[in-house]
Amino acid sequence: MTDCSSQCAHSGLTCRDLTERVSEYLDDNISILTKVRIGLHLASCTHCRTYVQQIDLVSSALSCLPNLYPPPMNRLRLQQQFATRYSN
Amino acid sequence: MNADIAMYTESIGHFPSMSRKSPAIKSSGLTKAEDTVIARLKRGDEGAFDELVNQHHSALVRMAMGYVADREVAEEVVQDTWMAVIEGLNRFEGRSSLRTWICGILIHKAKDRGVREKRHTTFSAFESYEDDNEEAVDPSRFQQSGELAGHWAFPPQPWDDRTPEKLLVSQQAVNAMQRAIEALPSTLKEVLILRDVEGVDAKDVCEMLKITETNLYVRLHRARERVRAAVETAIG
Repeated sequence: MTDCSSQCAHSGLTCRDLTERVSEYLDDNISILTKVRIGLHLASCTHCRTYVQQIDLVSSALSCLPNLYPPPMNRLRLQQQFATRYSN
Repeated sequence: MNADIAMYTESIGHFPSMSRKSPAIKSSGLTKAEDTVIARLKRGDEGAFDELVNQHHSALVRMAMGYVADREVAEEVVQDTWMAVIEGLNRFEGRSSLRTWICGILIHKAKDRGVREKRHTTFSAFESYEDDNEEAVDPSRFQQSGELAGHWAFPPQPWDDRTPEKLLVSQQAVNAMQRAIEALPSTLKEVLILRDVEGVDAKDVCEMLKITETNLYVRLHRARERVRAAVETAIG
C-alpha cells in the first residue's frame, strides 16, 4: 500500500513517474521545476524515498566492486611490450 | 594491429572522417594528474603503466563482456586494447581524457570481436535493447486504477542501515550485482560500467557512445534498476 498523501498529488508526479527520473535527479541533471516537483513528492512519500536511496546505494556500490586483474602471463607480456616500446 | 584501430583518433573516439562532423573536441581534456601520468608513461615508467592497468582493467573486462560471450575472450579483447594503448601512446595528444581514449579503443575492439565471432546472435545476454520507452520498474508494482493509480502497490522494502560498504560486505549482494551486470544487454551494460563503475562524466559517456543525454539517462536508469531489483531479491 502507498502512504502518499494529497501532498504527493500536489507534486503533479505519481510514484511511477518519479521512478523514471531518479537517475537524472541523483546526477542533478534535471530542470529546476522537475527537481522541485520530485522534492515535493519525496517529502511525503516514504516508498519513493526508499527507492531513491536504493538506486543511490547501488550506484555508489558499483564503484567499489572487487577489482579484476589481468592473468599473470598477460600482464607479463604487456610489461615486456611496454618496456620494448619505451626503452630509451 | 587492425588498420582501423591504427586510424582511431583519441580526440573524440571517432574515426577521422567522422570527427570532422563533430565540433565537440575539447581543447584540453586532461587534468594535471593525467598529464603527469602520461609524461611518466612516455618516459617508459613501468610502474606508471602497471598502475594504469590496475586502475582500468576491471572496467574494461566488465565492459568487454557486454560484447563477447565469456571472461576468457573478454580478457583477450582487453589484452589487445592494452597493446593498442602501448602502440598509440606516443600519438595520444590529450584532447580527451586518457580513460576516454582507452575505453574508446576497447569498445571498438570488443564490438569488432563480437561481430567476428557472431556471438551476438547466440549470446543470450546480448539481447538488443532498442525500446527506450520500456519502463524501468515493473509496472505491476504500481496501482493500476483508481484514485491512487500510478502510486506504489508493492513498494520497495527498506534495506536497514545499508551503506555501499555494508552492501559490499554481503557476498549475496555482491554476487547478485555481478550476475545482474553480466546479464545486462550491452547497450545498458556499457553506460552502467562507464558511468557508475568507472565514474566517467555523463557528457564524456555520451561522446564515447555517440548517444544523447536523454538516451544515456534512460539506459542508465534501466541498468541501475535491474541491479537494484537483483539486490532486492537477494537480500530483501
